Amino acid sequence: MTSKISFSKMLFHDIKRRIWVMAGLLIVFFVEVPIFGLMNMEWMLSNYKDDYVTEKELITDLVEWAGRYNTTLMIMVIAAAVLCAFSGFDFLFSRKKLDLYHSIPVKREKLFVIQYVSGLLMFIVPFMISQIIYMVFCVAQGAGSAVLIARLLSEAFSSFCIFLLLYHAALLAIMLTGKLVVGILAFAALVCYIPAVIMIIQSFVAQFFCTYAESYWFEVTYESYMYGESGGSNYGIPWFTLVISALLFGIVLYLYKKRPSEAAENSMTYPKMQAPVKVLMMIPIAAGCGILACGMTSLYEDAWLIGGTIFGLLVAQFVIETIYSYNIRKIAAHKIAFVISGVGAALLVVFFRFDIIGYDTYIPEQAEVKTMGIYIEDMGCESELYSDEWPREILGKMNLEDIPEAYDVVRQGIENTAYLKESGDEMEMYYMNRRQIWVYYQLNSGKTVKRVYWISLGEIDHELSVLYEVDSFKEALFPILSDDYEIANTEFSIEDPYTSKYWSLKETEVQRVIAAYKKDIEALSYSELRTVSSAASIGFGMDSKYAYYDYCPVYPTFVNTLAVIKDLGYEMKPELIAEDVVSINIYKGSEANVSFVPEEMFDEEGNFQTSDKELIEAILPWLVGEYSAVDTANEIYADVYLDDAHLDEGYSNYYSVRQELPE
Amino acid sequence: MIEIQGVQKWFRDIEAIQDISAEIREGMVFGLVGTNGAGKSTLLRILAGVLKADAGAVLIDGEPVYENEEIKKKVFFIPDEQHYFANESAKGMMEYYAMIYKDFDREKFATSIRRFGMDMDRKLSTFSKGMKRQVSVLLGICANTKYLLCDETFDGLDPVMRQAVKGILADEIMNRDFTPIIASHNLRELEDICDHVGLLHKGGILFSRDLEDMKCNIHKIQCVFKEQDTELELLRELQVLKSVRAGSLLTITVRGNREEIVRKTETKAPLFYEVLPLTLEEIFISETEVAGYDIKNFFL
Repeated sequence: MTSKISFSKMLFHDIKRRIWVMAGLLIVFFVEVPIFGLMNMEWMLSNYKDDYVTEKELITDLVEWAGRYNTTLMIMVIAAAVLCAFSGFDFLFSRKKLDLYHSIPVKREKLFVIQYVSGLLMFIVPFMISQIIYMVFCVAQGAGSAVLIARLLSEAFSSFCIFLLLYHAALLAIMLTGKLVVGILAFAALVCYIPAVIMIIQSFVAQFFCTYAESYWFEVTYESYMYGESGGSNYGIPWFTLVISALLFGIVLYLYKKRPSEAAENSMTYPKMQAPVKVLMMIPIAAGCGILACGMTSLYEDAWLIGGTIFGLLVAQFVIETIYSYNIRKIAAHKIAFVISGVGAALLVVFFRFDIIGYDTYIPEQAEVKTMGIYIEDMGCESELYSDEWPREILGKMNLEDIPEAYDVVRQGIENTAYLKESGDEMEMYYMNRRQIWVYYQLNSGKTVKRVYWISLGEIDHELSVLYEVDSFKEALFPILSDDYEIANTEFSIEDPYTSKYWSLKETEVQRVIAAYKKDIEALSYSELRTVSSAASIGFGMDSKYAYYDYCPVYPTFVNTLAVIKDLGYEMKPELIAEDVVSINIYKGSEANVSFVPEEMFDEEGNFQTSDKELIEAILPWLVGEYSAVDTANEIYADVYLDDAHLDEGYSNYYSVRQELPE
Repeated sequence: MIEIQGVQKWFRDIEAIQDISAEIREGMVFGLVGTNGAGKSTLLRILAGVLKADAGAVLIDGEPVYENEEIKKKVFFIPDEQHYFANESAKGMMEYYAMIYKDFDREKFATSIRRFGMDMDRKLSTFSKGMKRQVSVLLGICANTKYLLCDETFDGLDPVMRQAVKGILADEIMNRDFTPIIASHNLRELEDICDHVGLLHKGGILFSRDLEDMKCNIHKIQCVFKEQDTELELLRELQVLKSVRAGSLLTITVRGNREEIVRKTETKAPLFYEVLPLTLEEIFISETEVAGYDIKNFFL
């Protein structure tokens, strides 16, 4: 029987050979996690002692420092993955080194596992040492608790999952290439490919699908896979990366076993892969250049789109062929792949540019729809949403069933979209006083469909007045009406033309405000909603997955709400009082007509200013505050300056102007 | 025994080796000769299991070598450029190979290193090309494998070291079951050490023969005849590979038995004649010319 070569001895030898990687990583992780972490910890603990942060916030901050939320640390993890993989398998790029590694009596599987495990240890040992020291510091500083340690361990595991995915991506890049530089480029391409394609598709969608409702859906979905399901602002454990890593491990091991040794010092290991890889790279590059050029200009967009795509195609051909052959004379190689890429990029551009699938005109059959939801921007309460998330929570709960008026709203939206596509200028929608309306369909098939349209309220007044009578619709406009409305804290915002501040109330006081507000809302008719102007709001901190704050308008007719707030110590004024106004500036566009100020009183630039009390009194009813669903005139705005004595924190007001005065 | 059976190897669209077949018997020193690009290194890398043949088979002691751990334990490959780990010393490399090859003789390696005037603990990166080459040969010999594949091993060694290395190889052949295969583009390097020579050219093998057979079978004679007719008669009787005339001095390269050639020459009563020893280079040139290849420019 012949003796086997010791796995552990070879592993130890490899670790010893590239101990510099481990030492380097230990230094950077040690500095970033325990040392800088300690500095941050001291600052956070002092804030905690002074009651500036809660215990929950303290724990979250300490956990975030040692994991995926720390951008510097994540950059280090990416660099570590590259270093661990490339330092272990760099012999595949050198014929000289390969002669040694592949001539010794060690099977490829065994050699692979040795280098693979050694690379993992290169990361795990320094990373875990730095994490453990950080945990010790947390405990020593008095911040350590079982919850914190458990979350730190979980976060460390999640960071390891991210490393694992990147490590396997780097190994895959090595297996597919035969030169170090090309290998690193391949790693960058592998890691960036999906996000880049997502970004390009998203750009096309944003540019050409006017009714696309979820601007960050692709990114959110990608992130949820890569970083774990998002729970509010926290990520979970990214199990998906483990699945992908396991899959990649199998692929990489297979590729290594099949890898021809002569691939060393060639750009690509498998020449047959050159053309498909080129096509996969060239289509997004060309389309990306096209959409980038198109997005950078507002004139001749189609010409720039085509020009950018052709430019991208040529540049990609040049770069990819240069990388493949390292020979400038071969830049015209792989002509068929070039043609396929060109056709692919053109199809992609045409698909979006001409809305081949009729995305913007889609309207499901009534029989297909189980329920619908319609949400109107800047009408009712305004939610301060996380990033640009759309109000899916509200829409999902609306459950409008068999209401023909809801379809009429959509039809009007589709009609307006056709106009928008023709004009190509979204700003025009603002000038036309159109606002965004989100529509959500829950189909019988279980699928959900979302769209967003530009509609002015005047175009759908009849339909909205019908919908306004539906409780769930009204609850969407004023979520405070909902029985399960839960506020996160008793900090309460208050805003009117005279002040803007946060108020800390007792819970019972907040409940009083909510009860009074509900009463006022229930009494608010649709016609009132559409004619009454308000420059005042109250805001509640939300315990929601999607929103931080709900700002709810306070109309002059809300006597109950105003009375409770006055009772709590502040006299809220939803409207301006002429005697408090020092002056008013009105600005109008060249084509705008102002009926309440003679045309000759405007200067050449369309500005008008007055301090005349009579004139001010005449102008004020025309002004429309921020929290109003009133139809406003195009290109006419006003600044109102108040007497200093009536200002709380040096506050000035910006108003729109009514199209017409209510009867 | 190493059996090479119809081996082919392509590097993308270049045919590096085309249908090579040969046998390397145990206990002989096999010289693999050829011009640059002839496929010597490729063949050795296939023999070492580094490369996989695209067609044909390489059997070592009856088993294929590629990805065969047990067979590869019998083979040590010294490539034309040996890789040493960064910052490693001769001692470090010795430890590495001792871990890989169980019969590695540490003591012999240390003794040999000292004998060659080198320091075991000095970093190999500070060694000259020749010194590195000596270390690689010593590593290969001390690994105590049955087969030693040497690619351009003597390249970079000074004449003294070359003789010393040849001496070590000879000792090993005498003392144990050892079969070195030495590839070189320089025939003079192999002349005094090889038993058998294979000539590679443009990826194919021109011939593979025992050196002694070749030396016994080809001879060079310088002679002067009184009559030109007698000279022509002799040329007709002998199997002449090549003849050159300088004044009245005729130099002919002839295939055949030495005694027979001498007898035939003497019967023509030359004014002067002498049988000269042929160098391996001359034998090769003659043989390849006969085979229709004009490769002397590559060797000379």
